[in-house]
Amino acid sequence: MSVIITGAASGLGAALTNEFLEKQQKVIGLDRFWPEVSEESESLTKPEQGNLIKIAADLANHETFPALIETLTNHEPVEALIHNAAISATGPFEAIPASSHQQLIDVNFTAPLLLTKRLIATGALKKGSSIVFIASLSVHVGYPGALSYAASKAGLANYAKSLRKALKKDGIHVMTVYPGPMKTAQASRHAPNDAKEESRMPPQNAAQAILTAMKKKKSSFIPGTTNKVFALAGKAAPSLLDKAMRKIIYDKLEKPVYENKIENENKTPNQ
Amino acid sequence: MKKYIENANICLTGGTDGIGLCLARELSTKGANLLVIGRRPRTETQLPDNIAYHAIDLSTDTCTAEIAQKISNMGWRHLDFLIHNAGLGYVGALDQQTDQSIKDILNVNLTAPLIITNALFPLLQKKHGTLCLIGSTAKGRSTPDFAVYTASKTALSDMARNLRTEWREKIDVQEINPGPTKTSFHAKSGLKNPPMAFLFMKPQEVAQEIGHLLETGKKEKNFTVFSLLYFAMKRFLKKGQK
Ligand SMILES: NC(=O)c1ccc[n+]([C@@H]2O[C@H](COP(=O)([O-])OP(=O)(O)OC[C@H]3O[C@@H](n4cnc5c(N)ncnc54)[C@H](OP(=O)(O)O)[C@@H]3O)[C@@H](O)[C@H]2O)c1
Repeated sequence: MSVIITGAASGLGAALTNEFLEKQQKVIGLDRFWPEVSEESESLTKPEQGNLIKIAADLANHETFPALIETLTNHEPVEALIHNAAISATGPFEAIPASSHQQLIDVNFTAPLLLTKRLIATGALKKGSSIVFIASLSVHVGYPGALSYAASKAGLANYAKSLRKALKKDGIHVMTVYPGPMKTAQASRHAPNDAKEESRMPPQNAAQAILTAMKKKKSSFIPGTTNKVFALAGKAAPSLLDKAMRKIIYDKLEKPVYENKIENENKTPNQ
Repeated sequence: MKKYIENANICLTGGTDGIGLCLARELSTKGANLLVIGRRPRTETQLPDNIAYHAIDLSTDTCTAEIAQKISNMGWRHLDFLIHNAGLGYVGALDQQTDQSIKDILNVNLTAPLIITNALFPLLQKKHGTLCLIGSTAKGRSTPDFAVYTASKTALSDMARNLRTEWREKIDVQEINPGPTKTSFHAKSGLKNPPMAFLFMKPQEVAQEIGHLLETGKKEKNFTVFSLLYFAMKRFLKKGQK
């Protein structure tokens, strides 16, 4: 079995990659930064290293997608496609530059839609395969202070819902995952100052749970009991959650953290 | 808090056709200072001469800067209402949709409202203005024939939700979701004969309602099946009276 994972080099993507590799499955991993792949390398792929094929791809750069799809379809059709790559931008909406919001939508929302469509159209997915969208718990509980991020995830989750119906006849399974806070580098960059590391889920645990959910062909999955409870509360009393989220997150964000292709710098609190 | 259209500075996108064109007329009649944004040249619009207009394609990166510039040229120091109404769709098989169509829908329906709102925030904040997002009752539903459109409107609705939490004391955020409306929207999306079209609301009816809602400041309005039936009945009764 083989699987395509976007954003495979770090965080949840790396944890998912490891889970599949441990099960002796082949992973075609896409990421912006694969330490070993030099930017000058002529072909996109490096020779196989064990069962992991690393492909350098910037999901913000949609012009490169035709070539990327060609590379991906040179391999055997896959059993799973996991849309995991995402960037975040936290802070008051107006304190984040417009170009960062735009870049975020391009990466988190437009890119998975473009890739999905092309991979389906080219028959890169086997019958019986799974397409997994990593959304966010924010879809259920709200996320003031990460406006475009939350919007991208809400849109993605809804797209998955339509895709599920469309692909039923082809026997392709579509699952949406709504993870809560995880113990990843990205999450701690964007978390409020007082956030407790230990209360966040290790990405390994989330990855294992996601693999099980895939096997069970679930249509939606929320890793972790606390997160499930929060999601239920969010559905039952959204405005109550909005108030709580404003207190827990928005009011506590110290300063905006975002990426900006145009300013060409990676703003993090340590810089 | 009651708000007034009369003498208000209003920027409206997509005011060259359908609901937007009717809304432009409605707001202008009510005495608003209006700036309409659309992609066609002025000569190809049916806008009355007294309405200011700026042509810019909202799927381009430069649209925000141009709109901000235009507003400043008009001498506006604040904005009372910013209405994101421009929108487009695609109806058809998911794997047949072109890349360009996917990008255009997300750019116009979601990214443009995000970046224009972002740029105009200072003007909106000045006098506690209103941000109005025109979504769709399709939001949140499973719609395999127009998946990208519905996803864009679902994301827009999420934007309204979280922005409302963020801007609690600063700017009102309104989400208005029309149901099926008799405009050229469907034909432009590739759907020639939409089913149940006799039940569709007229763009004038929707525009009138929006004009009213802007003044009441209602947070969210969904033109559900019940609204459609209600308006169909009103039309029917009116005919009977003639
Ligand atoms: N009609 C319905 O059944 C329905 C139902 C629910 C929600 N809605 C929503 O209501 C809003 C108005 O729809 P409508 O029915 O009035 O559609 P419409 O008649 O097609 O009008 C859409 C407006 O948006 C403009 N527009 C589209 N793409 C643009 C771009 N790239 N740059 C600048 N302007 C652009 C159009 O310009 P052109 O005149 O040049 O095309 C037009 O002025 C949309 O957001 C739509 O999603 C409609």
